[in-house]
Amino acid sequence: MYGSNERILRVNLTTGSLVHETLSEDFYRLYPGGKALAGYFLLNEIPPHTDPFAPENVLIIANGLLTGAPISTATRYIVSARSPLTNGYGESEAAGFWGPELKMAGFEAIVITGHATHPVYLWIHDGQVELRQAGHLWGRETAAVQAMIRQELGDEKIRVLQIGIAGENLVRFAGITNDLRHFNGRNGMGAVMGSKNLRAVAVRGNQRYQGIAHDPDTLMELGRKIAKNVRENPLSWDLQQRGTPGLVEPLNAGGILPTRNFQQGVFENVDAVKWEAYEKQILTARRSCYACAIRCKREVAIEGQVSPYGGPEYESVGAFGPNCGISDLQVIAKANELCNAYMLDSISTGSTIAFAMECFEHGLIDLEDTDGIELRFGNTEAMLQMIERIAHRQGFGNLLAEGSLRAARKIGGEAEFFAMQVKGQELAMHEPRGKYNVGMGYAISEIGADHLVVAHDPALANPDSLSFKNALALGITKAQPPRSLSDEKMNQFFILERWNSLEKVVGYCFFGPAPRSLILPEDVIASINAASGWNMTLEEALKIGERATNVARVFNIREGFSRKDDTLPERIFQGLENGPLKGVPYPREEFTQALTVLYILKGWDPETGRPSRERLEALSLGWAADLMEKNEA
Amino acid sequence: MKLNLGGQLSFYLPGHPRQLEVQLDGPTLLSEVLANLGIPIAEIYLVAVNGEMVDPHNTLVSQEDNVKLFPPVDGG
Repeated sequence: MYGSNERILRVNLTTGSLVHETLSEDFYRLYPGGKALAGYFLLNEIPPHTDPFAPENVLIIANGLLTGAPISTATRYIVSARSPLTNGYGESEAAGFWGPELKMAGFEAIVITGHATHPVYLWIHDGQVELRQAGHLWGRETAAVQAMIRQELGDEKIRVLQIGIAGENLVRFAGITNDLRHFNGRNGMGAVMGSKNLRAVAVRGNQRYQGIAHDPDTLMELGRKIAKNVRENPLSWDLQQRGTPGLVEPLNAGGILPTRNFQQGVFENVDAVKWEAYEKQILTARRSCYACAIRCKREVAIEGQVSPYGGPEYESVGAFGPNCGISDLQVIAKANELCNAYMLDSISTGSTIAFAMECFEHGLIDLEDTDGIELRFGNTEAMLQMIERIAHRQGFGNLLAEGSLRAARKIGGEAEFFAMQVKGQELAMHEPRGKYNVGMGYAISEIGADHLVVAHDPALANPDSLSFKNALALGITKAQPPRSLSDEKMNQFFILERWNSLEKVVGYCFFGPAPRSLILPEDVIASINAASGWNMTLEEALKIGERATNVARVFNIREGFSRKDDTLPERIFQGLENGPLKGVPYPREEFTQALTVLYILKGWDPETGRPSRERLEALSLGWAADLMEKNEA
Repeated sequence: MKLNLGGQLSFYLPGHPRQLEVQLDGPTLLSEVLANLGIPIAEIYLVAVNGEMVDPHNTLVSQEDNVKLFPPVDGG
């Protein structure tokens, strides 16, 4: 088999056993890495209704087929487990350098079960694996831990994936970092890793991807073409120039910059947090992921000191800035740094604090509850103090560490209205009232509110635009307004969801392939085939994406999720308070109808949202239908 | 006319300026101004003239106007 090491590593932390398992090519062609491979093991190996913090929960770290290939944006890996935030299928992607290093060390994935009696870390190097004691690393910030691991193993080039203090403390939205600058932020995967007493996975490998590729020359040629296009294609050019913080001003102009817990769509102090301010006040350098010519990562200085954790992405600027009513970029960068030092998901952290600020302003909680902290919108010190408290589960932070939904239920009254979440996971910093497919993605995603389910609506609103023309090859033929939930829009959603799911399987970043960016569908397929030697068509690729989505769906059905969970926060069905979209709600009735249309397209029961056996079998998922029915019997 | 180019719209102009001054002899249709500059209208998602959203195809602009253009943005 080409493009794959054919090996996964099985780690049982209870017994300390470390076993290699071989993947067959027939299996791998159905589940060629990432979301697909992780979902397969998740559904097969986690007993129904397993406590996410129990040893029986399975934590899977899986590379994509292309992770580590010499192709810009093909760098990603998935971490998956039952989520302690949603109690459903959990998943979080990251890029950086760790995934490619794991591939070079000889493994496609790591399947981790059990619970170590003492803190440990895994050390993987060129096919060799050992579990090492991590008691001396426990309780330390992530930068210190990375330095200590590299020092004790005697190699500064070791790539370290790790949780932080938040994961040790089982904060339900604790994440995982690699190289301190890349994050599997969402869904609480860091808390699952913490529950297993696994602090880190250190990796070093010397194999070259080209050594396992079927046609390394074609792959390299594609890589060169794509890298050249980065500089010559407007869709990637701005990511290179500004990076994701460049989103702040355009979203504000459109009235869709989440502000003060999604009450408003326009932030009056946007000039203080937009890219030009970022560039002037905190930017020190532009950085990259493995083999990626886009270089969208940012490095910043806080109070004159370069942060080892990288600069805030748009999501962090939005979550700690406008959504908390804060316009001080130094404070926003500090909040981001604290999250990365303790390894909290910055989206859920900012959003949960914004939720608490609104509760405070409405009198649902007071100074007695908040440890004497005036938790109001715009209070920078309060926000920073609350991040500390969440990571350490101190005082009021212990409640917020449960996530906004659980905290709201504890606070009571109208608090749940202020929890901007779906299935327990907080919304990312994208306002669905101006982008209806983003809203549909929030509602239907198996991991709770996720902003990377489909390309965002404005990209496909103009039939003459480059993005739209690039999407024609996917079968998208009619441009649709961003605020539409027409049948055609749902058809578009169904295509884009399968395509984005494929990206999460093979290792591409959202910022690589069309329609978001520059890599044409034909080149995505060509890269898969050059790596694997397969003769894959676009149709087969979309089917891979659909298969992975359905495995995740079956996992959630088995856990008791149904159509009622595919919804949006009540506030979203009400009008925005300001800006160009003032008074505009996400239309509830159209949403209900569109969800039915989408279910039918997906072969899911319109009443329950349950995948049909017929559709599952067409996706070679008869085994998943068996599991689903067995659980219901 | 002061023209601000958001996102990748700077890409289309030599030297990639984020802001520029455009000399107008009198009221001119904004879409014509943009076409003359070589900025593809299909790549523009939002157009604001003096803070108000407009359609560039039916908006006249003058020398004292402040125009902001934004492309579609995505992801995060």
